[in-house]
Amino acid sequence: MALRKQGVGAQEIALAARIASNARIFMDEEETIDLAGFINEFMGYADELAGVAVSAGGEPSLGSPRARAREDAVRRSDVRDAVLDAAPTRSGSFFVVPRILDPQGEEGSL
Amino acid sequence: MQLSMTAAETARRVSEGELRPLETVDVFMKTAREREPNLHALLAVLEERAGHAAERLDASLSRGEGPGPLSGVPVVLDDGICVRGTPTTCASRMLEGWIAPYDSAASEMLDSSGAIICAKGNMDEFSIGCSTETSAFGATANPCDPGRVPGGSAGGCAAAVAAGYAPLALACDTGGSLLQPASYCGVYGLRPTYGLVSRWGVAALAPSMDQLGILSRTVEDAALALSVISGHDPRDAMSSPGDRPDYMAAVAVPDGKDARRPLAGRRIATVAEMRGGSDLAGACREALDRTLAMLAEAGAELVEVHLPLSFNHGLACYQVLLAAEASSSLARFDGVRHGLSAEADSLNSLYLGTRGKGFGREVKRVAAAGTYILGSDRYEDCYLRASNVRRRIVGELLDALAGCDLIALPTTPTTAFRRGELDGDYFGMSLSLSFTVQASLAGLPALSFNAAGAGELPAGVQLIAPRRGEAGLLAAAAAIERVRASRDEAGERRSER
Amino acid sequence: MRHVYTPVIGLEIHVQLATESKLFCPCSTDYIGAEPNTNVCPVCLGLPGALPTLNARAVELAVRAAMGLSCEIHDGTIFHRKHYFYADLPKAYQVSQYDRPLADRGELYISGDGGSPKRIGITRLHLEEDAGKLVHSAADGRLEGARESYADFNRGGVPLAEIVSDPDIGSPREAREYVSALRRLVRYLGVSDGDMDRGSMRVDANVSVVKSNADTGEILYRGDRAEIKNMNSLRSVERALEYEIRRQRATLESGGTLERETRHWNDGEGVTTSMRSKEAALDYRCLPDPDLGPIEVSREMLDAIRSSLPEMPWEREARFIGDYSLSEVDAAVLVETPALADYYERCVRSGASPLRASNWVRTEVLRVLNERGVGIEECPVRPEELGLLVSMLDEGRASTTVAKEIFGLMVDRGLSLQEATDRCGAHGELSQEDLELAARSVLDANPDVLTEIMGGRDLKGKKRKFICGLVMKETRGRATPGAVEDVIARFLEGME
Repeated sequence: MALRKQGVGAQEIALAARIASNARIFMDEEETIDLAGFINEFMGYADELAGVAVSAGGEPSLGSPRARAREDAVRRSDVRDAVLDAAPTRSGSFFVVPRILDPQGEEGSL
Repeated sequence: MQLSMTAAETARRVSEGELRPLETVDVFMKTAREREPNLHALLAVLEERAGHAAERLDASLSRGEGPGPLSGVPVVLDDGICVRGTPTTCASRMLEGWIAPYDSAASEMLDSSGAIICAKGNMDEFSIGCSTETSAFGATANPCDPGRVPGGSAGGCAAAVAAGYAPLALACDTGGSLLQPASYCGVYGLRPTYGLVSRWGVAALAPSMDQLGILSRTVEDAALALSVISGHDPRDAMSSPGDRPDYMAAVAVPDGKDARRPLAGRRIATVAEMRGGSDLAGACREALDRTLAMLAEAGAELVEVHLPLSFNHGLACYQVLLAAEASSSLARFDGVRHGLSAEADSLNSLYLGTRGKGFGREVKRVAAAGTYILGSDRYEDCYLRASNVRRRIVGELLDALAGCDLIALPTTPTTAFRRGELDGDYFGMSLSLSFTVQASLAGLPALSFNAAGAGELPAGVQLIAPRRGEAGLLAAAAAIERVRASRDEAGERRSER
Repeated sequence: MRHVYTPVIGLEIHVQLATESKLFCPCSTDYIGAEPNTNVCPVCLGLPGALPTLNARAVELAVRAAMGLSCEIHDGTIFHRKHYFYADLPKAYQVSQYDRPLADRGELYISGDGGSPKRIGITRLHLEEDAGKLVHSAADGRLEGARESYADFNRGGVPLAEIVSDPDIGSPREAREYVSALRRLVRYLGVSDGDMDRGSMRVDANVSVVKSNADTGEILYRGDRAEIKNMNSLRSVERALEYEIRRQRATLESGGTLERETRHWNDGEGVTTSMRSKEAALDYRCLPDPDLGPIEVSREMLDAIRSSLPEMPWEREARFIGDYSLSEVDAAVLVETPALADYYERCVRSGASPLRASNWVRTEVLRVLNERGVGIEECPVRPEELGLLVSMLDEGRASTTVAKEIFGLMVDRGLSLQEATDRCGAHGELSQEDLELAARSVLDANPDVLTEIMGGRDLKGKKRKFICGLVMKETRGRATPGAVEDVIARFLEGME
């Protein structure tokens, strides 16, 4: 198994920082460097698969059975109160989230 | 009640009135209290819930109502399985204190079978890990050697069964997360066919590979538990309908002439790629050889199959698919509706802060890696490619199983490693899944049992069957169990002379 | 060199499917006016361990819509997870369809700008789940300036069909026609309410402008497209596109360039404003959803749905024009909803002449519905009765005035045709007493004319004719002219 084990350069660290941001996971500098190394090693597995000849195209499904579709009937769930009670921040029947528009960060998708 | 009482025996005694449910719960609690300080196999002990369940069962039995097949049997569920009204943390700070508002199919079925859910088992955080060391709430020790890991992610459950807290535990297997701990702790681990057991209420890791499985100390108990928890659940779209065989019949002692060669006519294959592999520890090779001898003794014909793709590239394929699916399953933890929620003045910082604080290192790494490979620039050469390789691996395995009844191979390349030895070495640790990822990739059932010599560190051997071939697995394992028991007896008699 | 600027418009329309329960869980879809977070469950809240199960009716309705759009419908398409982080998305992914949609390559005909039917291609139709709703804390309810927002997941998981048109639409007017035609179709098929006000139909537009040489037609510049969002009515769609096309053209005319962007339509101020360009930022990291198998669309299912389809609105319209000789405009009004078209046809089948029935339904009936703010289903006059009334007019058995009076009584007093007709007295022979009463009241009301006649100053009989005319009017044409003359003659004789 060919694992990349070199040290990580600035480009890889920048990539790791972007990845962490896309995954919305805060990482400090140390963690980001660690992630860069991890991604390198991880991509070794992906590279290994490149060496395995595969037949062209096709959908990545296992030929699983057709989705068994459910009858269109309403059933009430009883989790509502428990879920709202467990909400980190709640206002009446709503979940509260902080300011969505962030001057520095990305806007939410509308 | 003795510590080693099986589930089958417990259920029989409780239903016949010889034993009261409260007694079985009591023994569980005593054992746990005694051994927990050293093992830390559990994250939550459900004393109140178990007490109520025992009382209800007691009342129902006194009314003459029919006992369920697992009446009074204490069970441990891993902490990724929702039990309504109880903490379900997935061993993560992200869900610390989260009380599941609904029941999993598993807990529903256990409740209606008369079983008593006594505790939640420790695990690797969100099932990401192979040693239970990534649990946010402390690691678990291996009861067979406390300086070693019990394996993971279902290490807590495997340890609880091995240590005699309960005869049964249920945990999720993804890539071997139940089979590997079974091997390391010396208990039976059964991973059912994908779709045989409902995943409703089991926190997802890699949905195309997750399957709820069983840990037990006897084959009969595994069969008993499987009869209870298997079956179609309309709430799980990948749960498959279809008749199930009588699993208990599969493990019953055959009579007369068949008794000595119960596996006559069965073809059991070894994997050519296992031969001469330097990755395989001596103890594990011996365990395999010992098992093959017992299989032959039980009448099986041994053949060989070649599985180059599955064994040379299964792990890589698994790693890619796992990271991709796991990153998707973990995306929902964002501090909005439940669990940990960071102080934040914007939505984005809420996400970053919550996931930064709530996830441990391995989870962050894998979630990030998965996010990366699902990106549009990497999707094709990572996920798509791995999916294609997966399909070919499935084909290879199914072809092999067309020519035999079962495949036999070691469950793990080594016995349990030492605690701390592979800390932080995600890839090194994942090598312990080298022989279990295949069943997960193909959705095939696998059963692992301890094949180490007496007094030795456990070393698991597993049997893999075609889809819905659990009866075959159980029958073969039962035959081996009997051969082994008779050998042990003979050995004891010899040593007594 | 003269330039010509040609707009290129494509519309992406999300249609909420009229199911009882959500796409992937049995929660109710009835979220309008519901208490927040009451139609929720572990699945649509994205709790750990929850799993989706596909709603069969949602598939059926999507297939119906696809058939109405003459799409190719594919068996075995899969769901994908579209990942992005936002407060209205509990799983941090939306289950949708990516590269292979349920249906594609369809068409819808609209009335083109040239006056003749124009074909608008349908690129694709796919199934996806709706997101929850966010209420923003800013005073004007807008996102800008909101310090926090409130999430309600009642709407999360409601089934949507996303319908994407080819960029065949050539003007804001055509865009409006397209939306209108699509709305009519989904209502006809019972697929959706298609109500833009209530959000069961949402329109986004992709619009760009092509600059070409007016003489040679050579294309000089293709502007990048802008995606326009937040158009909440037919009128907004038209106005927003008019504005945007003007804006893009102005940019090109002044030598500027246009880049891919997303813009927000502000209905109050009548402008589109740029949202920060999100194209680069959003990589949805689509993953085939491992919790759901491929969507089954079998031959049997297609046959069953096809045989249950109603007549398409354009087919009905054509039939009305052909069979009933209605004008295009009138036919279009009558087929606006299937219920209205049914009403009209039942009216005609009860014996009414098609043209007159068309007038009556389009004027009298629609006016009543408008006044009362109800739909045709609540029309107080049954179509069969209206049909009989109209045939009375056809056969000259009543005048228009009388007929309207009868209709008025049926509407206001809820009377049946028989009852209303009796009440109006336009029915059957006039009794002798009523005729004499009418004659007497006319004579009493016209003493001067009477004096003239009695004084022998009606040599040509004009004044007598005048009096008879008044009596005819009074009796609403129910008496024959002869009978009226007799009565008047007798009265006059009696007075001598």
